[in-house]
Amino acid sequence: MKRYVVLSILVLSFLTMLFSGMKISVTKAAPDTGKSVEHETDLSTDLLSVVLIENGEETEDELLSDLADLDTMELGLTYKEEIAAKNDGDYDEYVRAVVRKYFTDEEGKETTDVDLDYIVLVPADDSNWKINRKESTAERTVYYLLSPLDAGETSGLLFKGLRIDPAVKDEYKIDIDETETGKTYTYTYRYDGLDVNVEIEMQSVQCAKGKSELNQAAILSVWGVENVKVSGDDLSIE
Amino acid sequence: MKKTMNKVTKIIACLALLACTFLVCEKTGITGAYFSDHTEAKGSVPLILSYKTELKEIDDEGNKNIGIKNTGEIDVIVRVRLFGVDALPEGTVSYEYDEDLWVLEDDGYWYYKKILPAGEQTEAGLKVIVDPDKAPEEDFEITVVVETERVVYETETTLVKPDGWTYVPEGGN
Repeated sequence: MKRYVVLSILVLSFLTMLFSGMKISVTKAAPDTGKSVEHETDLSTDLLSVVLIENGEETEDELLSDLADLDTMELGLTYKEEIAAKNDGDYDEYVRAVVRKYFTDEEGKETTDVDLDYIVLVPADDSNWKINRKESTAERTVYYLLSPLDAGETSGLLFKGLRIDPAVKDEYKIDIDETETGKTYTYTYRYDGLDVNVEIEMQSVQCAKGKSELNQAAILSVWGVENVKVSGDDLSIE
Repeated sequence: MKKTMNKVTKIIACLALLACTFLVCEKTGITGAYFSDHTEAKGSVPLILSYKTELKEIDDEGNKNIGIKNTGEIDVIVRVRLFGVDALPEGTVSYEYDEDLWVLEDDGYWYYKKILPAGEQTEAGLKVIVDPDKAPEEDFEITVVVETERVVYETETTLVKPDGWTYVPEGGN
């Protein structure tokens, strides 16, 4: 009988832990990592947090706020756009940035068949952020901060500016209208009137210093990447 | 009865084993549950590439006072060339201009020394004065050609020199 009591306590403990975990897991949606994370269970976000820093200020939702009043971007001019991540939580964390750039037309629709290399996010001179080519495309680039970001700390700059490659003006067609007084040349530029769009998502996962095996499992589980390796506490990209 | 009890015992034992495994995993950190967070922001800026300028030529008692207005939405740089002057007797044509605004380069073009912002006109025109005493009696024609290029920055304070141009103003926003 005593044996049943002990076993029953153990079973009840298990069920309590199991159900408490499930209850918490459905209150927080998993981050969009572009890969399946159905097996992931987020327990809480209260103690782990990352914020996006733009030109020294925390920002939510809105980006390029300093450029909001521009009628147009000048070609070749680098506009200040200093981007970093800040750990405003209580735990150390690994951070990655998912960056999207694209053009939209006057109706706000994303344009296709355009060269996105004309939108240049100027990297910082001495950056500890590194691109994971295996996750990146012309439109979407994934950057990893190679060292964990300690609680309360702000990372080095990911970008220092935004610029439009002047070569964007070289894509045009000419219509020539001949009149009695001469010729009128009308240039129609491929990228004229489009909007330049930038989206940045900062993602973080908890770092338990000195536990590289656990950290490796966390990165694989949350971000679904296999070529980002934990060595010591730092990351490397294969 | 004893057989049923054994079965219950086995089930409870299995659950207990699972509970222990969970506890061990939790303590050693081998678990599928990790803290994570994310935040995102986005923004956009317009890009305008087309531009328009108008020649504002004022006929001032037979002289030409050349001004240019930027009627487009982007900043431009300007240069002007006059054709037909070389065919006239020497000294027929002279120029009156503000040296801070216009410069004649060796390629024969007059360059406006400032960026011409969208919606604005050259601060002072390039005045072409014809001396009637030296001008030929027969009709002659001076043709004004205005060329504009959109501003392209090389650095924050310098502009890219368009092909064929020998002068560009200083930049700076």
